[in-house]
Amino acid sequence: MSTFVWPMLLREARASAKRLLLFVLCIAAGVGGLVAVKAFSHNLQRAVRGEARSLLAADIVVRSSRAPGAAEQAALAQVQAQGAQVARSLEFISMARAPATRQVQLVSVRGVGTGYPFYGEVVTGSGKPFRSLLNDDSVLVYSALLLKMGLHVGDTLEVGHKRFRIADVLVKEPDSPVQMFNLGPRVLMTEAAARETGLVTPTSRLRYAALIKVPPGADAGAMARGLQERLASSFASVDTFDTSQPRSSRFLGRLTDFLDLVGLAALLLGGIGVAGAIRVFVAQKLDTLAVLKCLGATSRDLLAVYLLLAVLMGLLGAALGVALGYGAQLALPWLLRDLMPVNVQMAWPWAAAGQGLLLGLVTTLWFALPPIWALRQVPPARVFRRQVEAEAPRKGRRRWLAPLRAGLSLLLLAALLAVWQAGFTKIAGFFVLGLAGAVAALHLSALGLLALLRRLPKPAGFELRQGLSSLYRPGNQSGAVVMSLGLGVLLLLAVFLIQQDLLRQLVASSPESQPNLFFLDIQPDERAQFDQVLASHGYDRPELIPVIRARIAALNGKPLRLDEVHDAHQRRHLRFEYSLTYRDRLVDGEQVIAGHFAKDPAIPGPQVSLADWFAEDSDLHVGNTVTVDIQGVQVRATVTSIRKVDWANRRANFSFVFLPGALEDAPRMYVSALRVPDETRRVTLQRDLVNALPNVTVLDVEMIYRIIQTLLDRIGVVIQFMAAFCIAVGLVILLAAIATTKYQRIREAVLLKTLGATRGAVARVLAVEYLVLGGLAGAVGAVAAGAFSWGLVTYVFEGRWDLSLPPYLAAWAVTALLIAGTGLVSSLDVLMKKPLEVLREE
Amino acid sequence: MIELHALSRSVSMGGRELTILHPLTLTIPRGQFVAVMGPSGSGKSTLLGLMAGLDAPTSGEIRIDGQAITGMNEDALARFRGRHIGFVFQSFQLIPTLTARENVQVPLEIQRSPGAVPRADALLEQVGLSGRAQHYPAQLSGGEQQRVAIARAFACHPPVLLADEPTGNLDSRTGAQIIALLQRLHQDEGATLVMVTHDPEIARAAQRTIQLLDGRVVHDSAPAPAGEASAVAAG
Repeated sequence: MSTFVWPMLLREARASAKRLLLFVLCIAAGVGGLVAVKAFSHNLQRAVRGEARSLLAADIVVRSSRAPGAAEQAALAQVQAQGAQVARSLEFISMARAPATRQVQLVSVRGVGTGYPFYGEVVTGSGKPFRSLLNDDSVLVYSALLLKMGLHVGDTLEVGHKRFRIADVLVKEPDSPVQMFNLGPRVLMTEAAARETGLVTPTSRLRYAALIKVPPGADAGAMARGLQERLASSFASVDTFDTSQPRSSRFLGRLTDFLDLVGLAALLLGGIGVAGAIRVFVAQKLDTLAVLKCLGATSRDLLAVYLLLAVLMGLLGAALGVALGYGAQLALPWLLRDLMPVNVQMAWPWAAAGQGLLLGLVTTLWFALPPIWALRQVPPARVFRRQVEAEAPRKGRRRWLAPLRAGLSLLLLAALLAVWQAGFTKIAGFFVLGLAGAVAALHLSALGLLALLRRLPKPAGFELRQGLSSLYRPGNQSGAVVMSLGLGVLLLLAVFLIQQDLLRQLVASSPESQPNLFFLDIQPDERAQFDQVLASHGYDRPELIPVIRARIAALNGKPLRLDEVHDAHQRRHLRFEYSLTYRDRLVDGEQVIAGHFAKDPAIPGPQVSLADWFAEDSDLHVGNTVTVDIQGVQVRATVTSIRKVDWANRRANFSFVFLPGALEDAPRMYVSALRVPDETRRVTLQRDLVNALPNVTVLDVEMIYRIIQTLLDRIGVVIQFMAAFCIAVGLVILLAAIATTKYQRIREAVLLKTLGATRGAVARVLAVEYLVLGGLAGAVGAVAAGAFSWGLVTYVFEGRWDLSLPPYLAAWAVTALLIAGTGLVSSLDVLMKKPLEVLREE
Repeated sequence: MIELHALSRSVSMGGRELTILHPLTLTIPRGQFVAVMGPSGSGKSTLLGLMAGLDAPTSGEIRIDGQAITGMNEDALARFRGRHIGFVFQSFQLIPTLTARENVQVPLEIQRSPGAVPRADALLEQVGLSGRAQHYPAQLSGGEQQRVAIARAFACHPPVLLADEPTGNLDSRTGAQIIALLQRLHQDEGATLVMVTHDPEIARAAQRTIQLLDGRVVHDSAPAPAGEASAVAAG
């Protein structure tokens, strides 16, 4: 075999080096994106695993949203008796005040007890150990807080009813390393100091945690299981360092899973490019193959040459992709810099390289095998009757067979790879269906538009007519180019549109009447003072809504035992600490879907209206009962109505609304909301209110939106970074298509020049072709992106989708120009060839 | 020796059976130079294709050097061609991506013959192209390309050489040179040479002429009495 196969293979590689390079690049761009994500997520996971204990700051953490009850206290006492150390931590949001600058700021307060952290380190600005800086009268704060409030280390900061000295800058907490997920900058203090602020009350929203360090030699897993059993029916959750992941790394995990699939889409596009390139390559080899068969080469020899060539090209492309991916992963930590829980050491994991090579090779062979396999059919007698057989047009049903088979084959590979990458998961299913839908829609609309253009009356101008007819040149792959570039445009633009829509939903579309300041934790005896402060700023007293904190104790009289609820989703909902309210009427955005929202005199005792989701989740109907536990007092209420609630509207919405006469004596606080359009007035109102009522928390919605916006921006950039790989593949396919048809183009250009066309006219012909191609790709991509974002915004986010043309037009124009530019630059030699050179070669 | 026995070939076109070659029996002794003549569509190329095993007959049998090729599968035929048959085509059929030397090397490499490069160089020298070994077909004139094709056809010392209008694309002077070259090599190698041609001048150089018309042999100058061929070859 080797005397013929290897020399022939090398000669083919030499003769078609440029074209094969494009084939290699298709695979390289596809594999590059995947390897970048894989290497990054591998390194991230390794870093998170390596710092698992620091990221929890303990071996085991017991969390609860309520002050530890007797069962929890007893369980903790027991592990302490076994030699474990326990440190407490509690967190809440509140307002911090700076007496020096009179500024106020929403902060995320954390009080930590002795022993914290058992692992990892609290990093301070001065580098001194934080325990030496922190006492019951001092705090550590993030530098962002100092900047916002105009403060310095050593200044005074007030939280609740207590005054603190800012002892140092807080650089990093081991177990809460990402600031972006906090509503306000962190203020770290001792647990005792947190209690002295007066903000730890039964009505406040708190997060308690008990951090546990197991004694040396003890089994953390066994101790955690013991705790889990003892606390099964309580509302506490137990995490261990190897089961828990910080929120940010869980989030990054999900994000990289998603990016992995975007990378897979790029690879599949690369495969489509390979399929096209191979098909054209092979079509141009038919004569050579017939001659070789005449000279005695068997089908097996020929299969060996071209299959080996494909394998080598695939491996080369995949290897190049691995190198590209390793390079590109360096960008990911930077793009995600505010979301990284740990310092990721960049490494070059073999697993990512191996997978990249394998994926690249499988994709190449998958797409290259069918056209190469068909080479066996080339009749050697073709050397005599080429002209007769050359172009027998496929008719009727058979014309659809090949694209259909190609589509199914793509779908099958997509499914195989998605399952390989993501397992038999919902996301893999969505990916395959979404990709199939997108590819089919894009391809069909590309072909449809091309067919439509062909049927339109021919335009009068020579350049225009000639450019348009070039689109249908055999081997031009116009459909594949439009589809793959369209998919890139779809991804890039859809991400942008969805981001814009969500933000608009949150920020811009908020009607004038919607409040933008929320006041939480107003105590009953502070109502008069609250009114006063608002009146001094010229505002009428807004409605004060009573809020009572409670959790579910029983459903239909049957006491709730969380360990008997097997559905994790439902268990999470039942474990919530709910906010209840009472009133006698419905408010905007509420709609009764069962029962009546009115007190039924026939029913004794409290009556409640449930939100539809909770009723559904817990299988409760009108006439059933639900028992809530309000600080140890159980209140059993009959469900008299079920409401649909518009959660997206900007008001205080409640899952449980009691009818008057049941909760008026329960411990409660009030919330209120106000619209203050002017930012300066908003700031001064916050300042005066918080200085007068230190325990009131003010949420400035605009500020929260800014946090969400930053988060969405970060995610958007990363997704667009990956989508760029799809665009790269699309451009390579375009280049490959141009290269495969270059000879034809040159001949045509020469012919035109011989007939008197100037170089400018030939350039205009090419420009028309590429502009139309780019215009089509941009158009189908933009329309598909619009449809996709509409579907997602309307049905998944349940928001309102708005059509704003500029982003579509921009995407369309940029695509058209990008393709026209790429096409023209790579066709320069078509323009430069002298007629005689070409004619002599004939 | 090429033996054709009751060989016919028909194709169906538009549901109608079209006979390209009517049953034909023919023996071409080893070493004979035969010219096959006839107008377009008379079945010349079909006959050549059948002899080469490029096409399967509708009926009848073909034996080359005593070996029946009619029942062979594709790959066996390919191997058989590689060892027994050399081709020269009207349109040269060189592989455009290979140099002149590589084009000549290919059949040797397919046969796994050692020393493909020196053999190719020797053949190129014989056809007067030793200086053009590194040139690609596009860089050669028509006559030069056909000389490369002839060198390639003789590369594996095939006992049978089939030529399909080898001068059809060449001017008459170059054509005459090509025929002279073919004749010389035919004599040196002792191969059977079957050449399809339109040109009566060329046909005169052959030892035997077969005329085809509408798929039938209408004239055969020497229906090959046994023993004659060896005499020709010796002469």
